[in-house]
Amino acid sequence: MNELLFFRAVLCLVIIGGSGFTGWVLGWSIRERPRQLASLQVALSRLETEIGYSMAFLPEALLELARITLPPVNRLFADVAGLLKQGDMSSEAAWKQAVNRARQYLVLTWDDEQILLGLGGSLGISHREDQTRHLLLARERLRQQEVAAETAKRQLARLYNALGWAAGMALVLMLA
Amino acid sequence: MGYDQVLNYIVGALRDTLGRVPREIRADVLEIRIRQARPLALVTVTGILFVTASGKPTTKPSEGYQVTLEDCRLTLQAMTRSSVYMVEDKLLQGFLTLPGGHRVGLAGTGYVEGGELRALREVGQFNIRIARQLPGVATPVMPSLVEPDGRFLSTLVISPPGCGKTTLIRDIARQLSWGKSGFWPRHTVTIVDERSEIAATWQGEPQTDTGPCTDILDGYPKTVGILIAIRALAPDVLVTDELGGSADVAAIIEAGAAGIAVLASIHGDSWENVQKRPGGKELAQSHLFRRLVVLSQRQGPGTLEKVLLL
Repeated sequence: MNELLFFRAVLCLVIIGGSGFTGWVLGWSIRERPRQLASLQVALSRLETEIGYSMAFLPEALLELARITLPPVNRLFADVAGLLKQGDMSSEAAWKQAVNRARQYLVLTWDDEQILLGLGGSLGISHREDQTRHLLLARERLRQQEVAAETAKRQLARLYNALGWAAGMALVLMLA
Repeated sequence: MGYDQVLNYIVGALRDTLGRVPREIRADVLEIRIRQARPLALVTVTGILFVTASGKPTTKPSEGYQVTLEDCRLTLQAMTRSSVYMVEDKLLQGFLTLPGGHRVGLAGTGYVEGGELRALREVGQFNIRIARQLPGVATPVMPSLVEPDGRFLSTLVISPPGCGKTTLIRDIARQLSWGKSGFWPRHTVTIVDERSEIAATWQGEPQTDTGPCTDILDGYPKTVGILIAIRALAPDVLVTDELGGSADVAAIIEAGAAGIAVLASIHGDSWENVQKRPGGKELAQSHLFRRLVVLSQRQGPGTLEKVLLL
């Protein structure tokens, strides 16, 4: 009898803990996204300087971004640089592949990804002025996404956190 | 070999096709011609050949591999290392230099603003000229170009296009820079290489042997580069290619007046006709040049017609 009670108590704790953790993860991704979007904007601003003053070829400029940008965003630039250095891939295809891979470690939305893919389609293939225009546009669109993400963070992060715990407890009560 | 070196800058199906061209033909290739929606062609010492998708040479254009838009895009990307912005000035001038000194002539759709070509879009034609350095090509003329004490005498190389004047002045510069014991000492040479043809600089590194005592002003307009060379680099010999008008002539006359020997080239078939060109009269009146080397194509590129002593 005591063993059954103990088992049920552990199960309840697991359910509450799992549900709380899920809520925390959802809340974390909402808190993390504005940080990653801001990080991307800083990196693109640096890339604008590198290209605007013809300081480096694109693969080297991207490696430099990978060096100075905070993880996990830096992985995206390292990935594109690596793919471009292999040589047989267009920059558009390299960006597409890298953005697809980034789904495993970045918390970007579909809209955020479209901005990066749009930029990837034009990066490195035109003259300086055009390149800086594309980078400026991408940064502006990322900034708008960041503002929206900040609002979502304020409204939803704590809500998801609390809902996680509450849903777990509700489930336990229903099971009991 | 130059052909194989160039293949590193061509990608995808186009590289596969060119990579299947038989070895004995590769050795004769002077130019690779890539034209969008037209057959892939090779200019060889014996004439123009087209290349089938399986890499076989053919004389029939209809059997040639049809170059696609994607081939052209990927090729431009490989040649510019995905960084068109780094070479946009060269694109506007219509050429790129590859490692090894191979030159790529480019053509596409021009974007014009205010009457000036501002950008090149849809690059769909590539003329890859495989570089062939000919060290020693200047050896027969060198003794005529130096004083008994070994000092170099200002020399003008005159020839129509495609007769090897750049190859000749490159080798003269190389030999002066290395020096030759008992004949001439090492000279400090400065090359003002406006079109990257003499030294074929790629990412700051000359792709041709221009000698150990040579400074290269790569991509500088001649008039600007010559003044910088005079003020900052103190050369014994100043080298530049294809004098184009009065401004270029005035700049080299100034170099001569500063006590620098000048080695230059100009398009023409004779000294008399050169003097009729813009700046030609000033050039003659300046008495800057002490030697004239005239080249032609009579017996193939680089045929030495005469060396005139002035």
